[in-house]
Amino acid sequence: MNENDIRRVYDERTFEKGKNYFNEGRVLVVIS
Amino acid sequence: MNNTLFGKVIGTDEYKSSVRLDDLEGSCSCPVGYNCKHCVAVLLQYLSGDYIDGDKIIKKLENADKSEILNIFRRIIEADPMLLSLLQFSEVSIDKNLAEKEIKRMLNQMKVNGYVDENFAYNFAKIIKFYEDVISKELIFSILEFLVKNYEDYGGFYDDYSDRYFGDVIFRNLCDAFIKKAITPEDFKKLQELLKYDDHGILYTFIYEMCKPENAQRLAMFSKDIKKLLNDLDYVEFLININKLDEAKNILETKVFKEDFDEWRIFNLYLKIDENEAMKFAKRVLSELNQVFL
Repeated sequence: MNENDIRRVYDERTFEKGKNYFNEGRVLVVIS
Repeated sequence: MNNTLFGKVIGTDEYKSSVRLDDLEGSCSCPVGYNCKHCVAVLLQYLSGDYIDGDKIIKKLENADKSEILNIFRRIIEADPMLLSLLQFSEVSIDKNLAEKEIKRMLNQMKVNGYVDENFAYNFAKIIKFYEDVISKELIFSILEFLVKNYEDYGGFYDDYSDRYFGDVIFRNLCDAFIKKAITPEDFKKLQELLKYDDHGILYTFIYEMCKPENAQRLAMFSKDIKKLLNDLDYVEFLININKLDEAKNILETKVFKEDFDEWRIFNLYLKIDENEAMKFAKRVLSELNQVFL
């Protein structure tokens, strides 16, 4: 999986906002 | 786990998001609910490689012995007692002794830590809400007494740096729990007694919460006792909420209120009683203002 796969499911605005959240360190934890 | 990502993301609030790895469809506890920016953030975090491998943890647990698992379990519950609600054994989640033990442990921690931050306060409020049906009236009073008398020790739920108070939710939840108990006039005397020690006014939220419509209706039979605890305008609000409109109007008409911000509140209280009276009051205030400024 890469960023383009995510862009295919999520619209551009949502993707950019999510990317900002990730860059700002707003993700507290992810469990896979 | 189960080919799904589970994440926590800070937005306006803290949201729980999960995303399926096969089709990247996500769901989230935010108002949007699905395929939102929080799900994207979770996916990007996963792509960065900075994530916890849940399957690996489960695999390790499969090989751990029972006492080891119980120990881990105990530590998880201690870190977030709300997780108890996930247990299916109702006798565990509503255990009165467990509630008392947990609350006393947190009170003790407040004293030991020397300062209670917003996160701890929020967790404490959650615990009270979670156990509100099983905590006793006596325990509620002992919590109130602790919070009043140890104000200096735990910092009074006040953040000096941001000049912000964050204790309201605790006292609101304590009051909500209190309202559900078998209340007697003696309880209001106890509260009056406690107020003597409340130099910082932290009990105000607890007492004011009694004026809220659903609480006031439950306490209607104690209006005389409550009157002794409330200031006049709060008592008027209480009376309105138990539908004693004439008595409320009488207080508004006969008492003298001196605070600058009272007019707006009185106007709003009149509005709940009678629109015409509210307009009369507004005209009176405006004409008094004209006399002052013209």
